[in-house]
Amino acid sequence: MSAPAVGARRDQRGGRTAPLRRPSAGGRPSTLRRAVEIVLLIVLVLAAWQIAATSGTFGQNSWPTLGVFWSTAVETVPTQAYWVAIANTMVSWAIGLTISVLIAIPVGLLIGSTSFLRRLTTPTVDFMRTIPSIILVPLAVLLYGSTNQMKIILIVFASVWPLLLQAVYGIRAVEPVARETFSAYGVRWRDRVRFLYLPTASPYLATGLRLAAIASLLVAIGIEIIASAPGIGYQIGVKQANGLAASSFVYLITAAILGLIVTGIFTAVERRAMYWHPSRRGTNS
Amino acid sequence: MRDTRTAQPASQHIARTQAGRLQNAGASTGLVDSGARMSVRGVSKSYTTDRGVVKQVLASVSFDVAPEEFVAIVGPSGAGKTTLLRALAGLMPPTSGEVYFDGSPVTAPPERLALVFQDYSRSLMPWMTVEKNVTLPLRRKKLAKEVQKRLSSEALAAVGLGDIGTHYPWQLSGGMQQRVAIARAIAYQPDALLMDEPFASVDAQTRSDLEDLILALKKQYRMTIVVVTHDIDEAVYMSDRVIVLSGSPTSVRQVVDVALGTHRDQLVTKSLPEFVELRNTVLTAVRRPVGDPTA
Ligand SMILES: Nc1ncnc2c1ncn2[C@@H]1O[C@H](COP(=O)(O)OP(=O)(O)O)[C@@H](O)[C@H]1O
Ligand SMILES: [Mg+2]
Repeated sequence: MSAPAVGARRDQRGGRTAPLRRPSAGGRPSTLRRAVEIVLLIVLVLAAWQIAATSGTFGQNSWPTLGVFWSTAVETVPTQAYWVAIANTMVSWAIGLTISVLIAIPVGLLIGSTSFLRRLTTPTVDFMRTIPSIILVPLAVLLYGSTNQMKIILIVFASVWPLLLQAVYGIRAVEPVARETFSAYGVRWRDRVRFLYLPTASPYLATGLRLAAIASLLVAIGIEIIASAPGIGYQIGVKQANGLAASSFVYLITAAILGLIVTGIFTAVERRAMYWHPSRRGTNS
Repeated sequence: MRDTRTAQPASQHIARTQAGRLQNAGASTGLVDSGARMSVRGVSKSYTTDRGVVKQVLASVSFDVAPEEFVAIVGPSGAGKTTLLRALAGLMPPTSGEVYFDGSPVTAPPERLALVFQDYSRSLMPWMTVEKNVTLPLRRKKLAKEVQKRLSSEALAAVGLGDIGTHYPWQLSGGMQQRVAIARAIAYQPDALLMDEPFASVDAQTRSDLEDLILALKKQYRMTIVVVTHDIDEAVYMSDRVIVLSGSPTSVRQVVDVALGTHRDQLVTKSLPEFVELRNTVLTAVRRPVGDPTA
């Protein structure tokens, strides 16, 4: 039944040009201005990079010039090792995030809808989520070695808490009047989940998903550096240790780009999940 | 509109037989069979606050609502009118006493009953289109998609809203949103309609339009209606009977019969001497200090 939902969203977008809703004026100048700002920022960063590299502040050979970086990138990107590293990181990221979603959303919705469970679990969740995943690296390595499995477990540990909390908040946001409306009209249990609980919780879940996705990527790469598990982080660490600064930088920049892509995708997901929300109405495109 | 109603007698008949069966099954336990659509018998309700303080809101409230009758319940803010309506709707069990719908005890929201809340903005789901909101209660009836669509557009037409099924509630004005909530109740084809201060959050002009709309719909669909309001003019103008609640804890202070006929008009009815007199009677009952027995 996801097709009608998509259809409804289309209708709503169509509705934006209807007389009831005025299309926002002056979107164009601000887009242009933003583009100029971004270009300026990039130029500034590249200039700073070149100055840092040539001034020698960071020691000989530790910061490649733009030219060296570029030629190393052109060399590295077509290699199989480069793509295997990305795949290693992203596959464990995706698996870890999926496991977190599968655990956190049902458990969070259950905890959120039961005041007894909520009182029981709140202190535990608050405690657990403040433990940084990195602290658990030695333990996880001891148990599982420097494997993808170890990495996934730590990714789950880092990303399950924001999702769980958001799911709890999401279900708490259900309006009593809305709940009573559903009861009064005898809406069945499955329809209540589908038309009341999930839609109310969806903006919260989407925020949780974005936070979890970013946390997962940071933890994945961090663990690869610390525990020498295969992936981009491992390449960053190992190239650095072998004095291959430029190569290390290629992987570093790759990690940053992946971070931007993940943030972009999940910010867009969040915006879509909130199309009906008072803070979003008419602002998303 | 005729199409919807041709289907109506059959489903009504089924509901009646079910109610009858329940009634017979319960006859040995002494159930009410007064021919009333709704009966409230000695209903009391106490709330326990978070700090464990018990607060009694309703004390032994009793009244009947006849089929196709229009009853208005008035009382000061915080008197427990919403509480009473929630008990009537089967949303909350009373602490003691019983509620009956078509002779059978209410333990869950009755299937032949629809509800319109004061807070339309929260009772309509912002993530669903107007049409989805209106057809939401029809899902339990397992009707075909086309039938649901037809019932929805007929109900929207009946409340004076045109082709707005694809809009979202938040794209509409407050008055239009409350009309959608009324359309949702109408599409459900209930025998009885409960309304909790339905017009308290709309402007005066919209309010009298909606009052007349409800009166017209009542005639058209022959529904039993119970409306809670704190507006005494509105209560007298719309109803066949006004039930005045007061006191702390609240009980029925006075019942005022409103013999103003079946045709009401904002200008004509409200300037009738009988209207003014009824209005003053209700106002006196509402204002009279608790414990004062003078009628
Ligand atoms: N769920 C609740 N828990 C505790 N007290 C409540 C609850 N609902 C209502 N009350 C109290 O009961 C009284 C009557 O409330 P209500 O039925 O909403 O009155 P009215 O609709 O007449 O304004 C109020 O004092 C209110 O604070
Ligand atoms: Mg109230």
